[in-house]
Amino acid sequence: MSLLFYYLKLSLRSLKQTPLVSFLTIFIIGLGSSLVSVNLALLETMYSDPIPEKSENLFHISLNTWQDLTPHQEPFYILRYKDAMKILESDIPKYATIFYRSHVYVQAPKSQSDAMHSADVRAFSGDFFNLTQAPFQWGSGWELDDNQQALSHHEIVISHRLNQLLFDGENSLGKTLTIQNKSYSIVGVLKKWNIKPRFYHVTEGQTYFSTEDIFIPLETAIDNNWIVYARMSASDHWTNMDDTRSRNVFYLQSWVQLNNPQQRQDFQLFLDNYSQSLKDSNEHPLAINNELNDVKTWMQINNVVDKNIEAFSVVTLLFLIVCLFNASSLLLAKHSKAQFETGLRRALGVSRRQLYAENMIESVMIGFFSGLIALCFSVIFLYLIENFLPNIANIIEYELFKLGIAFFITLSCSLLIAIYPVYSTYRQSIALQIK
Amino acid sequence: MPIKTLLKSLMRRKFITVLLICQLAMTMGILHNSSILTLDVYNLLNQKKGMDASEFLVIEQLSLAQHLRDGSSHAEFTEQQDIEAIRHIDGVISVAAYNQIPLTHGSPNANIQLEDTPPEKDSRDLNYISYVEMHANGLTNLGIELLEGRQFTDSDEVTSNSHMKHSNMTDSIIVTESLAKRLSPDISILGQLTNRGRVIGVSQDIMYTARSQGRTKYYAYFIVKPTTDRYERKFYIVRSKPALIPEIEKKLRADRFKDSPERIIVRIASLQDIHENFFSRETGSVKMFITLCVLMLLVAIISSFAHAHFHVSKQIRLIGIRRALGAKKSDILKYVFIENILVSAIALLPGILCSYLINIQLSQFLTISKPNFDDFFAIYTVIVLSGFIATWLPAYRTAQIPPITATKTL
Repeated sequence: MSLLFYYLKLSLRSLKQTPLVSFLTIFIIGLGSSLVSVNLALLETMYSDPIPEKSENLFHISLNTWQDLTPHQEPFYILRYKDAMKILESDIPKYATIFYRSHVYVQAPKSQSDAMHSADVRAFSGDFFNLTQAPFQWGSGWELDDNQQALSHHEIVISHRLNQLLFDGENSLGKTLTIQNKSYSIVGVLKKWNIKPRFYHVTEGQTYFSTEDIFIPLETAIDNNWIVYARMSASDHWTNMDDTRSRNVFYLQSWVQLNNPQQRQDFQLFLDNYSQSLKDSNEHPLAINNELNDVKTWMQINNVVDKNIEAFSVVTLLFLIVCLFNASSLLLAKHSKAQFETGLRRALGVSRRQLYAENMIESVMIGFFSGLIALCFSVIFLYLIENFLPNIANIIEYELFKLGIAFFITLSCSLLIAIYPVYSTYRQSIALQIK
Repeated sequence: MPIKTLLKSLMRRKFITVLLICQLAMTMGILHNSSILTLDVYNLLNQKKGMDASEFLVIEQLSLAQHLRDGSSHAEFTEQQDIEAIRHIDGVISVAAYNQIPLTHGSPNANIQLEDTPPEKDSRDLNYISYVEMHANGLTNLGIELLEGRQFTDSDEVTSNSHMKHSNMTDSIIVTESLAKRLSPDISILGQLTNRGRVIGVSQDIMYTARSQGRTKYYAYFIVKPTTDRYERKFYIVRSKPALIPEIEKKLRADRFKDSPERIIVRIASLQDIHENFFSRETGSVKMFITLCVLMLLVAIISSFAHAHFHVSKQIRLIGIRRALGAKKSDILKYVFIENILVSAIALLPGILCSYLINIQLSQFLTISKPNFDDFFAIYTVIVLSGFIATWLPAYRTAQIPPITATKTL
């Protein structure tokens, strides 16, 4: 232990002897590794499985029921009301849900002010909460009838964020919210819930949006003419949301939970039979082509990983290499300057092994200081990315664990770059060094 | 200064020189590609729009109360009051209401086709045509010139959603030049009947779908229709002199346009800002690359400094001998500078190679133009100059060392 302290003392003295070179080395390693670490942490989140417990059992449904021969894509990932309702009729999936995204303005409770709050809405039928494993803090979802429809049309579930904003985080079960001049009763409040990526709606660039503030029965949202804030395509003319129930207007997405391959096979058959029945009645002009994609496949199809971050990762990796080359040059310069002293110590009996150990300790010390700088830079870079790319701001987290990655990358880098300068110094003969 | 001597000197410290050359090459590659990305985004933001966005202010409004969006006389009265209030603000040239604004994503949209012509094999580019519902002065307000036909009058107003139904003979529409050429490339489209109405005019192009490729970004058609009967969301576009826009914005916020339970003012912003925000992902990406470039230049400067510093520590005796043999301080400075230029020159070819390889790699993720030499040499000059600055301090210090000190170990 005393030897370790001795080496630490020597390393510190060595750093003090060449303050500029040591500072630049520490600064450069910290800078390069922090940028790479931040990007790796973001990529890790983007590639991660948002619902590992059952991602293999959840399937997104695409049907090919577009009503003319020039479809936008085959099969289409958004469904008509009529097709979506058919999915809910099936008893094969453990859970099934159909939904669309909307947006409303919520009036603050009377005790507060007349301020209006912007709120994202998920309007759905079926078992959305069970399928997505949404965690409840108080209450639960609304009750369903035998057809998977809400029994009451005036009940909503709100998010933790909205509950904090409007009710200061208190239990708001049973309280009333006024949304666009209509009143709704709160039957459930969710805990903090932020799925990353938000697998159930990864289209239209909405992958990294937060989970919604308000959850409402699909039929209520349609009755109230809450418009769709996502892709909507129609081959029929429509005016109000109510029209979409009976016309060829495509806007609903659907997910089902199928727990085993047999269920999946049965459900695929169910969808194909449905399409065949439409074809038999001349309501299916395109070929039968129904797709079930599990979470990972669906995220791959929709390229959920942000291309800017992927591209940036490539160049930051090169940047790290440049930084390491630079730091290695600086270390070489430092060792070269200290050659006489090293030669003298070797002449006085210090073994190469001891010198290697001493230098490794110094590298660890450089790595430690660089790691601290890397932590600071990581926070700065996360802040910059959050501001430059607001579309992914929701997945940026200042987690100590992820910032810790920067620390360990830095430590490894500092050991790596010390190898050649140290080897190069000690391979020379003592005579040449002290000449 | 013989190049051979310099090369020999560099060969004596191969490792550090090779590292420096690699660093410079990679720095050139990254800087060059960042400049290409920046230029691409600049071109994207400055593509032909068909209008001067800086002259317009947009008020985006969401009508929550049914009586503001049911087409009733009350809804029309409220809209008229809004328009009058805007018109009376000093500096406002004109104002009109629309269902959508130009220079963004072009929604709502619908398909369009000529009636009485056989259906085309592939008409997908006509499936998402922005339709602009507006007041009769809508085109004039946007400053769009008419190339053929006549302007809208109040009598062209459509009072229902009839234009969305097929084969409507009575509705009048004006189409943009690009759309007119796409629909009827051989003869004038004037007077022809489409599934959205009869064409009464052809306007100059204006960009509605800013992200579309080629001419399709200018495909749009216009119709006179009240903005009070269907849409929750509507836009007032206010025309003024660019310098007066901030002042008008302030007045609008202070006077009439505030949130209430009946309506929400989603935003009041200049069309220029809205257009730039629409490309925020692209500009954000460029900002990230520019930040990286600044850091890379910093590292390149440190690198050149370290190299020169290392060189000085290694060559101090040699320089001392030179000084003793009559070399001036300026000769020593020249020696260090020329060596730096030589290293940069050696890094030129690897730099070009790096630039191409990085471009290929980036093109897998981003839309990026191919590299060109003009930009590359500009970047190269920046790197040489920054190297020049970085080597100045070690070179100056070396030149200041008296020959007696430098040669004392001989």
